[in-house]
Amino acid sequence: MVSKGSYIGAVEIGTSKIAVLIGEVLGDRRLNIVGLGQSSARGVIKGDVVDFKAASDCTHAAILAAEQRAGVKVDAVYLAQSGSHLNGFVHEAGVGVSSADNLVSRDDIEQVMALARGKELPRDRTIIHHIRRPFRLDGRTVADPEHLEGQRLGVGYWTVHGSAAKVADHIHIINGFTLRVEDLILSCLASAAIVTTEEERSYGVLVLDIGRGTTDWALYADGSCYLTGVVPVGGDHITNDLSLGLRLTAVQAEGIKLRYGRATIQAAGKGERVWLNGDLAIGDKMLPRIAIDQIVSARVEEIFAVVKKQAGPMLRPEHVRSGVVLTGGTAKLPQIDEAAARVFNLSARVGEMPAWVKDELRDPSCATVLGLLYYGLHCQNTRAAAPSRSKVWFRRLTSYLVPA
Amino acid sequence: MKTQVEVPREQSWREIRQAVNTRTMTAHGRRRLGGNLARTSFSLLFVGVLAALGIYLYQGFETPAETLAPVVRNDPLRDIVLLNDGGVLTKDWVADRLGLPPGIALMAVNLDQAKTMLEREGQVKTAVVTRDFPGTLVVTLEERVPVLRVLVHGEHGAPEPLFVSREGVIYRGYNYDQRMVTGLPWMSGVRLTRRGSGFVPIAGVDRVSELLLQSRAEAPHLVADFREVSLAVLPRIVVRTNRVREIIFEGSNHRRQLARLDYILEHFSRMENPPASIARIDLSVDSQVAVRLAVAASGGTDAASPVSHSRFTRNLPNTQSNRGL
Repeated sequence: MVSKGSYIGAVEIGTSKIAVLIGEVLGDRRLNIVGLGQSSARGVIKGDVVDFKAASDCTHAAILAAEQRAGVKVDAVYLAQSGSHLNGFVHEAGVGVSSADNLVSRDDIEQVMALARGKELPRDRTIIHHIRRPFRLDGRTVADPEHLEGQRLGVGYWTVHGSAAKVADHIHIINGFTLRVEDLILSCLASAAIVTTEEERSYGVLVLDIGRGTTDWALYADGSCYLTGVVPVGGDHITNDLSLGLRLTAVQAEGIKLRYGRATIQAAGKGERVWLNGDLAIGDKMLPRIAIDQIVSARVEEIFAVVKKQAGPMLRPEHVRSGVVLTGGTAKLPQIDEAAARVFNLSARVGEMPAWVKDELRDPSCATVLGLLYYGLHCQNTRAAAPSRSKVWFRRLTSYLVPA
Repeated sequence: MKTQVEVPREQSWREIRQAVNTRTMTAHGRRRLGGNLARTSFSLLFVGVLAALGIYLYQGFETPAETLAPVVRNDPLRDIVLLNDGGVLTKDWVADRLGLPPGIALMAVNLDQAKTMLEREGQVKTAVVTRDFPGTLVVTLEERVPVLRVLVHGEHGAPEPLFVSREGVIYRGYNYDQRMVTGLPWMSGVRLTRRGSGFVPIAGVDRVSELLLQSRAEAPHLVADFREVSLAVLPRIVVRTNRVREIIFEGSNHRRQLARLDYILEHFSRMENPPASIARIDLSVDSQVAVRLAVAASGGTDAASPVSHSRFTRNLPNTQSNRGL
């Protein structure tokens, strides 16, 4: 039960920016966004912390800005997790129904769940999520097998795990601001929770969150998340190739990408040339638009191709009837949905925020941080409810008394 | 039948320890930590103060169960304890004056009224009445000390001896030692005024008390002969004895006057033919003493025989040199 009027934060430590949202959790898990803080990221490359102090400075500045804007202090946050160190595997288990009348009991369910979750990992790995797939009772898919008749009960989990050290780095950045990580949520799950509907997820949908350094994806079928993945390329990949291909600086290449970048090659403007800076100053020059299109589209398609390869045979139209939903900062690239449709051979669209989201948060780059709050409060059954004030007070007191 | 399955321990990210490590904190984090600590400390202090205040108030308002129990049981008065250091009044006298009915509950005794009743008696200077649970009434008395006796007309015209205290209070004495009573001089020379069943206190008795106290301390043989003390000419005190009809004392410096009186009386006693009686010894005349002898009353009056003042003044002792008096 969520206490009325408690506050919870959401933090996304991305490659390009750090975003923080503070939400007021009202009764019945209703959410009221009260504070937003953003800062440019330093010390983070492709989701991994490479400079703890720089990353901490940026993150703490963003949290402080969000708290000041909200006028409240939070004690715990949901933290987005991304990075190439994340991996996943499927582990399935099955048990025979124990009762003589073949009715599935709660003990049977708990036993099969424990078995499916109980796969040992290397010592340097830590589990981020256990995402349960639907139960199977004698081959048929069931949502809740309790009291149903059958002989063999099976269930599978998609287990997401990552490097314990890299996960700890993210957590310790938050702890350095005297905050506690209430829950760790995969970035793509958070994004999917906000840009897709429950109906779309039940029909099957592929959600791509294309950030600056990484592309996080999640494949949903039958209402459950079947697969997730992280591709260690993102918007930076396009910028780098523009820089190399057109002999530009990284800043110039980023500017060209944002102003003229398109995810598909347009035949209509083959001979078009565009100015590099547009100020007619020394160093300004004309660039062929077709060259920009070719580089951008090639890299975008390359990203999609990597995702398609990782998703494997599950990525078929009969499994993903709702198509592809794109989000993240790079999803603002024009015609990216067309490129996705062509590569995946599925319908594709850029994800839109629900109607209740205010204008300043409707940008696709805010999908993850907004989705963190939403996912933490609505999509987790037993974990990550916003803590009550009394628990927060007690935890804070004990954290002071117990030395680090 | 349920099978026991060994499930490996889950390596969750929640096993990563989350603690405040000041070494890895940024300036923002340190400021926040300081603020949190200050707020927490203030909150704890505030709660502590509130708790202390609550305990203090609780203890202040709480009535001990031991005290409440007798009140609830209405225990009867079983005994009266009298505390009167050096006094002569008795427990029976107190009980008689209070007139408490037998079996009265201790809590039913009106302490203020009991105190007033006791202090209404002239012999009692102050009275303190307290309850000592479960069944005892403690009466602490300070009694007046009689200095003089006085004879007044009683209710039926019969003479009634009363006592006069140092404060001038006139009262009926109870349980005084008879030898002490007979040693007290009678008081005269004062007009008594009735008030209720008693008399209005008279002034000047404190001077007499000082004279008598000093006389008893330094010349007990003289004071034993004092029969009557007159306050008619205050601040001078007139004392009558068996041998001297009037000894006039000045209001102060009694020691020197007593020394002179003793010298004069001793002088007469050593005479070969001492006078039968002395009419007056006036000790209030500055550095001299006037003595008038009484003459046998062939003529019906005391024929004063003037005595040369110089005869006595020449050899009179002074206060400083006659410590052995």
